Amino acid sequence: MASDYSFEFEYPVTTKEFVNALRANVVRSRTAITVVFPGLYNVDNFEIAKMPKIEERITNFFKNETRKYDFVFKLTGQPKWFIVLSQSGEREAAAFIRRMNMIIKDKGIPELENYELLFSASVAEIGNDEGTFEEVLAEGMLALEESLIKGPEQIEYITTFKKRPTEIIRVSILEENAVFRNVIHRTLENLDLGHFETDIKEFQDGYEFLESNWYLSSHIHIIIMNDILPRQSGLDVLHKVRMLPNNRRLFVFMMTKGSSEEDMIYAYESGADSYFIKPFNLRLLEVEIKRTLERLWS
Amino acid sequence: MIGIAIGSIIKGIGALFLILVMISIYIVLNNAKEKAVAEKIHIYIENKQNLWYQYLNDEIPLPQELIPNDNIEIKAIEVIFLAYVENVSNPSIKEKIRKYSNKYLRQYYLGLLFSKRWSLRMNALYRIISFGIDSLADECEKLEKRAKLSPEERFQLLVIQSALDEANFVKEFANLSIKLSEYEYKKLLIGFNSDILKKLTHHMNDFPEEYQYYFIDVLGISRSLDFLPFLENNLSHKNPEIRIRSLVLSRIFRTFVLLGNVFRTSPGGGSKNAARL
Repeated sequence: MASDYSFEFEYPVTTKEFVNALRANVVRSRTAITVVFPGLYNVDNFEIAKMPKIEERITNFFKNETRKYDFVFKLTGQPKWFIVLSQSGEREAAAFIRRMNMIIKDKGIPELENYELLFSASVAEIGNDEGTFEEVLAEGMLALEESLIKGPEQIEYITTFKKRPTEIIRVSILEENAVFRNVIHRTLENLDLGHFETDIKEFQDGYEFLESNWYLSSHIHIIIMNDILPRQSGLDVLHKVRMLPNNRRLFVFMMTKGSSEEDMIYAYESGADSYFIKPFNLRLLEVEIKRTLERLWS
Repeated sequence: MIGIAIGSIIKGIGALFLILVMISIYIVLNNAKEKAVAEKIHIYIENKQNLWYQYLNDEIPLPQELIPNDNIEIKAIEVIFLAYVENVSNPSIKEKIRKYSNKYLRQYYLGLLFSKRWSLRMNALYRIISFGIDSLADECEKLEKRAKLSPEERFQLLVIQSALDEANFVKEFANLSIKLSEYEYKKLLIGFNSDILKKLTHHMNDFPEEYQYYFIDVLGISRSLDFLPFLENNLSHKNPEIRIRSLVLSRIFRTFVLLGNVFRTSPGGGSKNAARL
């Protein structure tokens, strides 16, 4: 029945507003978007009169070959496009371009099978909300021109907008042994975590940690804790923090000296993200932290 | 009536009171001394733990200030080293602790090793293992020849010998002079690497009967398929208990082999853990 209705908006959303909304969501969702600027390389081979039809069919082809959450825009008056691949980085974008070229070579674009169509492109991964829409567009078009000068099937990458914004993550170390607490602290302090900065605090037991309210902020929070602690154990802390709303921002790494496999299974079932059996290699802790943070951005 | 003069009783009470006061003073002074030592250790750790971190993690060469000047510093270093060896397994860190301990802590633990106090001797024996002070292996052997040693010391010496003097240990292990409980025996065996266990398989028949059972149990715990031929050989052993224990483990190990083959032949199946399941 919905098809009986049609709506017209008084203030339709412009391409600029729409793309800006997507860009604003990049930081919040920690998911990069990538803008691909494809351009027709051998444009001189086509009659000007036929160009609008050809461009329309190419636009339809791009629309059919992209996902539901990707968006294809055509630049007015020139054989150039502006494709937003949401939830994709530049590697996925490069794969997308290669796939397009292969389909065009093998099968051709529907209703344009008799034409040899050659494309080049520029790619801009957007990892922050700095810069304006106009700046993205200008740099993208400039890079596209460079790729078209180089020849067909060329890709130029733009890195200006790729940099992730600096994000502070909290780290809590819950360990009874003060020297080892310091060892973990120093190890994490020395770690190069790219755009993440750590704010590290030490606690000698679960009670001190839970009393601190340090874990109640909205930061990404990594908790490294021993399973056995005085006053309140690591498992107590695990149960408490997993009851919090929005607890997916918390990553819990347990440490143990002599837990059985059953204890470890129970901890995993209760929400632990990883388990280290003491003594363990500090490099193992480092890579685990790095991998966890890398996975935050997709 | 007991014929003791009141004056004597008062003198006796006075003497007892004096002794009590002296004991109290001794306890208070001793307590204060221990507190002062603990405080000095705490201060050392607070001040030097970052420097130790840098040294042990190859960030700096050994600075002069990490070479101990007195026993209090050694005790503080002991606390730091223990925190590392109990929690951290980085081979480079363990090696640095071993080298440092052999050079700078050897004399201190040698003193403790021949101390009259049992607790100090035990402490030395534990630390020799924890820090890998192999330069004290000969001294441990001398200590072993002493007639008057507690079972705990003998057990710990055995652990040290197994770690520091593998070759002689394997020979002597078959004819253990001390009696170990099942727990102690298994604990000792579990600490061995598979090379020692393999060597011991050739001597198993020389072990006392009950130790042979414990030995087979530990091979099962190791889950190493390297022991499967040995277990299968035992299926014709004259002792039925050994035959039964070996049979049970052989069947479990055979299941592992079958599962390993399934994983290997299945698409995407890995064989990384096939040798040790």
